Amino acid sequence: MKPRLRLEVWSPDHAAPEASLAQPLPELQAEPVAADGPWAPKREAAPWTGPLFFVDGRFRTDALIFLDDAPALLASVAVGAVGLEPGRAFYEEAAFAVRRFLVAPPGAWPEPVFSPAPGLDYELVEAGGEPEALRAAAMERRGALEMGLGDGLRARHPGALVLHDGPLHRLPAAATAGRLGFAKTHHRGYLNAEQAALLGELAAGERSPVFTFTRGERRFYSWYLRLPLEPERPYAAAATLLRVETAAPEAEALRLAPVSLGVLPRLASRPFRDPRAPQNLVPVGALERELGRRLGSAGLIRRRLLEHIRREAV
Amino acid sequence: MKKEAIGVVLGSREATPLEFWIGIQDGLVRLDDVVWVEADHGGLVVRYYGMVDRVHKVLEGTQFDSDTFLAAGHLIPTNTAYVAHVTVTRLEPEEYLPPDPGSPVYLARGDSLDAALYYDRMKQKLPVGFMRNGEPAFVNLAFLDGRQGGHVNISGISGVAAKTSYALFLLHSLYTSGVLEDAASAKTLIFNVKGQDLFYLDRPNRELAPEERERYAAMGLAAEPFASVAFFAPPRLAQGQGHITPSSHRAEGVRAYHWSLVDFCRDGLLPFLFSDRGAMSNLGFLIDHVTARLAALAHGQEGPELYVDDWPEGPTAEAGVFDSLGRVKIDSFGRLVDYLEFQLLGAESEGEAASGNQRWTARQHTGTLQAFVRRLRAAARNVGHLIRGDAPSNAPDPLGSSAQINVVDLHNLSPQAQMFVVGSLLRRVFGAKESGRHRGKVFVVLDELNKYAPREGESPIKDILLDIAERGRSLGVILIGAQQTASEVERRVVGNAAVRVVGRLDAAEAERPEYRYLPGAFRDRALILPQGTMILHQPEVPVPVAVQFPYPAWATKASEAAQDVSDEALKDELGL
Repeated sequence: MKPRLRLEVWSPDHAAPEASLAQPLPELQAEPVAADGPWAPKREAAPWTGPLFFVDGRFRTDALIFLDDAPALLASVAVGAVGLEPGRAFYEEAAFAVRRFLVAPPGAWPEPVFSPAPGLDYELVEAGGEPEALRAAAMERRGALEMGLGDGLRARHPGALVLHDGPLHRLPAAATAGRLGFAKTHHRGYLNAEQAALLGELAAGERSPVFTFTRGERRFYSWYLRLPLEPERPYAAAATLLRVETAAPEAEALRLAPVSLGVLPRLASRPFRDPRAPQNLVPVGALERELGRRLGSAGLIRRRLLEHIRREAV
Repeated sequence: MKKEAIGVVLGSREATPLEFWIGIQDGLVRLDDVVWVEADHGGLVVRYYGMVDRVHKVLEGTQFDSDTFLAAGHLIPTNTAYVAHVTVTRLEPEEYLPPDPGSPVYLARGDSLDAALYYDRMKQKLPVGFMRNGEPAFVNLAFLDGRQGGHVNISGISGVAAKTSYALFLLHSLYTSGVLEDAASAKTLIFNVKGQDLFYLDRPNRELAPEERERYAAMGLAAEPFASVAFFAPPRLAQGQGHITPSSHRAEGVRAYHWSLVDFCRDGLLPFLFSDRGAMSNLGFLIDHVTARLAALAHGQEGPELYVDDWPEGPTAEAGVFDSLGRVKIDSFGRLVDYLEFQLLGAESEGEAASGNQRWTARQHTGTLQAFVRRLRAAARNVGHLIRGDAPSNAPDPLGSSAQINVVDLHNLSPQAQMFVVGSLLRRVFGAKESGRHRGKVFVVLDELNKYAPREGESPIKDILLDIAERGRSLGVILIGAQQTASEVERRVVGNAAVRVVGRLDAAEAERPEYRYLPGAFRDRALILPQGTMILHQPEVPVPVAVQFPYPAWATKASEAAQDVSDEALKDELGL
């Protein structure tokens, strides 16, 4: 028998969105929420009339340097938000922030800030010695910045819906209202094989019923939705699948699930303009470009670093 | 002066001492806007003046052209970049250092506008229209009246470019602005080539809107028709004996113009009947010879008819052609041609054996002589009513006339007759100025220069135009010439014009080298210029300026002429 051919949409340069949709870790096994009806595709969409924000961040390793023999990571993080209102798409200028971190083992760098050039200030972050751990510490900062930015947006625009590009691990328990996260890649499964069979039946613009699971100590509500992708081809099962989650209570989750169908499908990107189509949503793609611009030129930063090190070299 | 920056010098594109780009933050910047920038080069402050010659907007933050759809659907945020290109017109002091990116840019108004366009250096500024920003535009009179330069050349498509209207507006400004000191003694000769459009110059235009009057006032000009105009039209073709009436729609105040045979011969006007002197090498020589013989013949005669005593046969079968001395009376141009045929080719009755009078033929071949006669014979149809033996000359005399402006109608004449009239009158004007008989300036307005001074070939009238173009400005004869296509006009005629004006141009024409003095953006714009807008270039200002000029204050057709029902006008009309 000939093998069944299916195309993964994302450019092979990016990690594939599909991993193991139907092999849940025992501790993540999801429970369908009975209040959302039988386990079948759902397509009722609800509009969102208030302001809507997408929050994302961008991370770049500027250099790996050595302080005597200790490795230290120089990383830049930019976070920002793009707002959508009827008749307007805009950058929330107050939400943009660029922070740079020098991640080094404790005691390796004597000062709180490393300033190799004017306007280029790296804040000291202390973390354990392996390069992987240094990177994880910097990523931790990025996540915290994104969540903090979302908090700020909710404070300034009380009725707003804030959508985070990525899951909501780091969302403070006190700030769950009006926040959604969405996962483009599916490294972990949440549904058992029987439940996961439904995902193959979802048509564009449809979602699964809401299910719930616990991660660590916290309870999350989540659902899968399928984004439209033209032209329709035999794509891999997870190719157009987005998993949306919220840390808010069940009632809000049930209210936001139809809203996600009203908001997200029309923002699906297309392969010619984004290598991670359709899940990398159109406003997020634009925001990422803008964040890249605000990070500054990597080559220029490297040159400044070199000049500084040559000047300071002993 | 209100000083608000409209934007900054861009750093993403090259900023040079001669051109730079600006990003616009506030307000609107359009083509032709004049701006200034100041930059501090270590204590040396240089001010750059310039004119906007390109503006564009692009969406930033887009990757593909189709991203614009997303932006229009408010799905991605974008930034609209509004940028303009500035061509520097002047640096003060003249230090060719590039301006710093980020320097604030200001709109030039008042003094800074005058500095940008060198109006501050012009001692005598002649208003020549409005710039887009509503401020008057000027030409340095010294470059128009012949002191440092002279002549105006106007190009543009007929009917759209409003060449004649603009020439008249210039004249109006010359006469009424007070900038030209001896305006009262300046004379103008205008040839009317289309309809009788210029036959109402002395009548107010009743369609002139009040806001147009204000535009005249803003330039210091009177919104009035021309005060002192004389009109000349050729005589009607078909008419009986005696009274010669002008061929004109206008009932009164138009004089018929014509030359007497004696004046035609004495003044040597014969060459102006030949536009193809170069067609045969010997023809030119023969023309000059016959012209000289005719002048000798007319010497001492009073006219208008011409008497000859060496035409034994005379015009056949007619009585009363011999006078008491037995001389033959020549009383029409046709007879003159008969006489010349007899002198050049011999009597018809002698048939093949006939030969001409050696004193007239100047040893030319029969072929040349026949060609000459053939051409004259054809001319008789065209100029018979202009060169006559039945009336004394009544040719326009722009310098002798009491009117400041002399309009000579050509539109009904055949091309040959037009050549003759234009050539004869230009020669008369130029001759008078050469001999120093008239002290004031003389302006000559002539459309269709390509017909009178074509790039190829030679003709007597082209010689005169070249004379005017090259020597006229020192004599005070200023040519305001116009044509559809400058590329078809003798290079030296266009090249000698200090002030060049372009209206709507044809696309192919705009690409020709004759318009290379216009920067590319202006050449592109010349294709879409609306009526009433011209691009004007003068030697002192390094960039052309787009000017608009007001609606004519004088009538350009009968329907626009405001009816004059005053008692005086009625008395005039009734002959009381």
